[in-house]
Amino acid sequence: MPWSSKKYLIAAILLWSAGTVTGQRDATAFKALVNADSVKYSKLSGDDKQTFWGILGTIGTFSSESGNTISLQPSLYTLATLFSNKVSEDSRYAKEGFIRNFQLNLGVIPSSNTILKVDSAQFGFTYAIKNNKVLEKTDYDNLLAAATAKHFLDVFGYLNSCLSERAYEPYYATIRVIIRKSTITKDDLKGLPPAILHGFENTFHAPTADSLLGMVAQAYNTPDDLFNQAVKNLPMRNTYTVSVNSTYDFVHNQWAEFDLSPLNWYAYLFGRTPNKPALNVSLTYKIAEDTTLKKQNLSRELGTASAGINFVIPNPKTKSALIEIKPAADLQWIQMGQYSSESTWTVKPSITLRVDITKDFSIPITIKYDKSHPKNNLFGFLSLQYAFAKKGS
Amino acid sequence: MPIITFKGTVKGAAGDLMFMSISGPNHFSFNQGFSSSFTEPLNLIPGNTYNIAISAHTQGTFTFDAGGTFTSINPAVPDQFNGKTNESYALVV
Repeated sequence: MPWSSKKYLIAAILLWSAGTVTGQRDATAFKALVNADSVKYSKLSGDDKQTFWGILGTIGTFSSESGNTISLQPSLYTLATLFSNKVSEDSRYAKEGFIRNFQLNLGVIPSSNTILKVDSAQFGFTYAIKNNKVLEKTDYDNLLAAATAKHFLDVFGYLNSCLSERAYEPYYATIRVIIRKSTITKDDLKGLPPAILHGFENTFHAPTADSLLGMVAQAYNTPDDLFNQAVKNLPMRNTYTVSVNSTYDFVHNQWAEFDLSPLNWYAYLFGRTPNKPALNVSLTYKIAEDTTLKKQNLSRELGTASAGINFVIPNPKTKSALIEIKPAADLQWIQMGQYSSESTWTVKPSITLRVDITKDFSIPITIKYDKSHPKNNLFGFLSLQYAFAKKGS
Repeated sequence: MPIITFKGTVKGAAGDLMFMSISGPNHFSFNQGFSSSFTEPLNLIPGNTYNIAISAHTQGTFTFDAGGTFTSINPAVPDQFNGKTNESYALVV
């Protein structure tokens, strides 16, 4: 098959993949996955999500420097759930760490004339060596083993046992209303008769009736409190990824670039509470085409070390990220294939302003300064980042 | 006595924080916590009504099911629960 046909085929596969996943949203496995990842990512900053998405994200980049890119980044786990419902069951989920942390990076760079024609395609993967932003089996074991969890079971079991006592039949409806709540207040318990409330004294020793109700309500709310606290701490765990990417140029029918990134570290250094500043450090080594040479080649080699700190301004109502500002700097050095107009070492400062429209959709705008271009040394990058993760979808 | 099998299955997560309480006549009581999918067979007496209470917290979804020969369960158990759920059922064996 000639490459001119293959490039249309690749574009079609990418679009088919996106359509297939969207079309599968009613499947139980995908619902479970989306729900889990929705909880996981709802409190993440957009900048953190871009480091490693882990489910299914599309990122379209429209930049003045490298052309437009439409990319799709499914994890192997996401793809596996499309074919097997059993993969998402907890016993398998806990064991499938490798495919949950292995993300494909697929992308197309459309022609500048028409989006229906593809000039280049990108293939690669990102592997998250450290990606613990989800509760693992040991986390659930620890939640269950918490001493306060036993107190909950005492209260929960006692209330349920009252439903089997004929003497309490007038209060069955009240008891069921309480049991069906994840959290309760002292007022919820005040509708119960003294005989039932007296039974709580077998577990709790309180000086007053009011303090007894407070202790019972606190014990009842334990699972919700424990779970919420555990989930709240998840987004602030660090991420460390490595990636390998390549670009094939269909116009000249040759490989145009290979990238190796042995380090992409995203760390919250100032406390594990939401919306704290985060440090992002990365290192990339690139083998690329020397465009001054006429024959096909990959004789240009350059490295880039990047560091930036992302600051978050949260939405005052939802506390989720609303606006993010990330000052950063790239230190680039050219190992081989240096052009005459280039310096061996270059520092490119940049600042990215990200507006988080929703928890799934954000628009990062990056302004990069490059002093090697004396007439036009400011470059702008506008991106659209969307994640296919909506709670309950 | 018929064996009624209670089954909880978690999907899209490595586990769950789940509690199941079953009470019945003559002070029958079963209270247990689970951190992952479970299958719990219990011998329950025909003609009796048992109260089942579940409380579950997970990052994924879960299903809860009572299997075996029994007369009814009320209200009907939905196909799937999302995230956090507390529910109370009356099972007539």
